[in-house]
Amino acid sequence: MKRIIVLSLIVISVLLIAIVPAFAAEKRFDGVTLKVFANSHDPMLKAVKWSIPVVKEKFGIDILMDEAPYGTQFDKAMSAFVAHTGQYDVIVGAHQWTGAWADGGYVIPLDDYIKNDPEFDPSIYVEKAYQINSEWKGIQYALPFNMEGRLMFYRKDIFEKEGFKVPTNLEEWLNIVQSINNNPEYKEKGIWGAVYMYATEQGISYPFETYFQMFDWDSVKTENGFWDDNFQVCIDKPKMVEAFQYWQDRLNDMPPGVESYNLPEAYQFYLDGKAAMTEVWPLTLYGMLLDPANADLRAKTGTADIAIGYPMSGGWGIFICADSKVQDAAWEYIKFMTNAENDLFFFKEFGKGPSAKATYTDDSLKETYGDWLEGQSEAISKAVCFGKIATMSEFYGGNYAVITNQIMTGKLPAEEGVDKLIEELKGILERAGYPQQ
Amino acid sequence: MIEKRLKYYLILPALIIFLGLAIYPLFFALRGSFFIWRYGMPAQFVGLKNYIDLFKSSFAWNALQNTIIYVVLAVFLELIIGLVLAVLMNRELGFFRPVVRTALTIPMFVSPIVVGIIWRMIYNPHYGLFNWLLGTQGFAPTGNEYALFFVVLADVWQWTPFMYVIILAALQSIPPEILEAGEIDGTTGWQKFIHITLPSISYAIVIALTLRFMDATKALDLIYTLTYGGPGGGTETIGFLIFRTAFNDLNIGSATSFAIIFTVVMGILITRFLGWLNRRFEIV
Amino acid sequence: MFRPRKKSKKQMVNTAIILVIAVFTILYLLPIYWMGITSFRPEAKSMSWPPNFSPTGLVLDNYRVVFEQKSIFWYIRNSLIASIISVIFSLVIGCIAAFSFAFMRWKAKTKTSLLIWIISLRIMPPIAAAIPLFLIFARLRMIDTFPALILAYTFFNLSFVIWLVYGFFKELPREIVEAGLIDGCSYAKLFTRVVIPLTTPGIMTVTLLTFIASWNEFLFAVKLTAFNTRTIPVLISGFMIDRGLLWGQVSAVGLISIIPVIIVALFIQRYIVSGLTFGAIK
Repeated sequence: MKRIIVLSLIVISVLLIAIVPAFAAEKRFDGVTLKVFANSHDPMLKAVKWSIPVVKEKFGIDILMDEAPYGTQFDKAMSAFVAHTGQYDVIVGAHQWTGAWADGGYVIPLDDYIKNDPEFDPSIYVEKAYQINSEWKGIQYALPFNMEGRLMFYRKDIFEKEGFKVPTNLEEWLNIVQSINNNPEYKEKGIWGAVYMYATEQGISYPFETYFQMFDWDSVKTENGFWDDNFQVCIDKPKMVEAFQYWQDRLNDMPPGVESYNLPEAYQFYLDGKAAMTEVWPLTLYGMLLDPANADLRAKTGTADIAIGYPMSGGWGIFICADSKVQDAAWEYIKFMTNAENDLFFFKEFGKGPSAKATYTDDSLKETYGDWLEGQSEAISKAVCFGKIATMSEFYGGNYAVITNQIMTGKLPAEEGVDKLIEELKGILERAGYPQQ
Repeated sequence: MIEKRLKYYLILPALIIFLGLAIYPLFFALRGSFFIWRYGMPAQFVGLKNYIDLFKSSFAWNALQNTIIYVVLAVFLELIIGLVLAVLMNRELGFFRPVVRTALTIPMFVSPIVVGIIWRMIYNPHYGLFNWLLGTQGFAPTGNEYALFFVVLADVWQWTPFMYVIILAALQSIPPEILEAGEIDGTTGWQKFIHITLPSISYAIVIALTLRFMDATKALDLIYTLTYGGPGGGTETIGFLIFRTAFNDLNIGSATSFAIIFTVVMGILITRFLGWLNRRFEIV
Repeated sequence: MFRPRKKSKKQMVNTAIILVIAVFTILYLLPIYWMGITSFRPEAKSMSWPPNFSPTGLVLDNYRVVFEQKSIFWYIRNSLIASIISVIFSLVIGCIAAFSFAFMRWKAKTKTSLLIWIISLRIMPPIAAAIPLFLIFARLRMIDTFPALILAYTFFNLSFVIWLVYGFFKELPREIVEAGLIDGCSYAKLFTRVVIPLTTPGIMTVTLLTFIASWNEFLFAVKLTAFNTRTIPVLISGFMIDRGLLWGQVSAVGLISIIPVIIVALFIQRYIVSGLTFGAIK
């Protein structure tokens, strides 16, 4: 009798010890409100929206969500940060904004959390994704959320018919483009070799991607070919002029009107079956191709390395704001949103660009996506991040971008234009706090 | 003597709001313009450097040129079309009138952002209405050197109702006796228009013109969605350039210096213009 | 006056005018029609060549997404609160200020300087005022509150209201105003019984324009709102993503967002009738 009682007491106490901590853990963040600044990019926005009830259930955290598109999110965040309104705890930000936020002390380094949290395992992420989204000056500031590298989409059916092989360099790519453009059969149907964008926002990518391929990376220690590790401009002028001239000439091979083409127009053109190749951000085009209305085109579409250079990287990480009073809860949240399980789920459900290794090698995705994910993975491994300095936004949308656009559309001759670009870049670096010699 | 104080009391609420919310921004802009100040980073005092750089900046001159073309063209067209429409719609046209009257004002209701998006669809070189109407294919109105004119077109489309509505309200406020007086004298319709109708609504025309002029010079929303300043800065107006400098570059020093010069110059222009009008026609 | 020949000529001219206006209106509203049609088409079919004008193949997909996923009613509610209240404030404050300038004895110089200063406030590009205004409201802990938005909108619209209403007040025939004053009217009575009724078309027009300005205001809406007060322009700007444009959904939101404005405009129509008011007062 005694033994039974003792045994039951032991069992009960063991059970209690096991269960009570579980209860305590569940309520750990009960009553905490987390203010999340999401980006309006559909996949990421949907993921954050999905997380609201889930996180409440799992952690007891209430989420307030604000959203803004790429064009206004940076400024809105800076306003909030500089005025120390504390209105955001967590922010989904593009990697190029890291410098501006980190240097100003507006987002916290995550290294302490990373070191001290036994649950966290950085190896679940694709290394490149982890580094790009977002590490700055040796410190990790964000966990990778949406990761993309530029990818080329092409028409397998046209390639097969004409006996083309997937191009691997500029010459092969150009041959295909011109061959299709000169082919009367395709001319009649209004099908062009390629549709590449020349408008200000996205058109700045191509000449630099081509330049990256021409640039001699061994000649100087640099991450992006624009400035070296001491933040001194190291642009190889002749190569950059060559790259720009190449793209100026390509205007003749592009469908008319590309000077006004940005992503929406390029997607539309390709979806209408009017181009054999295009280079865009893959996730959005994947998403559109998954629409049953486009099933036919999807079967005919293949993806490949961009061929015209080294792909531009595009990525978003989730940062923790320095003004946040609930940083522990914020850490749990960003860990949760970027863990391998959710990474896979977000890709499947919402089309968010995966950052976890497991998603890229997942077997269940092979059926729907075939080798697309493999191509994505390769693109990411070769992708070049343009930079993260504090004044990076000027690069993408300031005078630098406008000059790039002027050269691309032929308004400025390449030589003169590149000179101006170098001048402008020096200014950008100086304004970021790196005096130029 | 209540009256003496009363007139001040009546304008007091307005003054409070103005002073409360206008003084700090003016002071902030003035002060900021003397610094190299990247928002979020420490600022350095540089005196007039920002202003000097502005004069040397090709982007600023380009924006000025674009703005002048844009404003003159847009406001002029809006005035003419708005005036004609208002005069026509002021006539007795039966049941037709209320429907069309409201219908004509709809473009003004649409958010400028949406207007930009609609016109972006219309201007699409391969799928847009514009090409279809012209019978062409592949013509990109916003992709060539004349993009500015097509942005003006979209602006005129959106803001003509503004002129139209104000002028129409003024036309309807003309006391009938004045109009009848003209008829008794046996003047022709055209003469009546020039000598009686037009002067009666001159105030409305002036104010509509001034307001529209001021808004057009600051035009931003439309350009932001239609061309984002492209191609190659071809549709960058002063309003857009200041926006880009402040929002994207976070270059407060440069943006505020431009804003201040702009405000001062515009302020002088408008004051002179209104002063001249006042002396000639007693508007104010 | 019975002049048969002139009458039929007038009728002919009128018919011609009606025709011209009808054609012009149809062409002029083509983009609106296009926006409407696009909103009822599935995303994949929103652009095709040649442009498809016929109202066939219409679906409600975009609207479903907009209502379910984008909670557009919430945005409409916020926009209504911010716009209506700021319009009321602007009108009240603006009209009494305009009344003061129009009908009370002012030294010409003072009046002119004040009026010109008021209109000059509108010259400053709002972008330059965006950051300092944000700082003011941040300091007052009013970010993401309706009062902040309402104050900002009232501030923007006030100079516009004052100038326009002042103009309409000034255009009133002197005799009527003077008659009222001689009759022993107090200023209040003058204001409510005489001035306002006579200038109703003008004031209603100003109401409409002010409402539109607040309803569509984008820059400050984005900056001053966050979690609780986002208005419709903020929602629309969320479609301007660099990754792509959802033409159908944007058109749907665009169409929905002009409906309240059209309602206000129709409501105002009733008050913009010429001639009636004069007779009544006489």
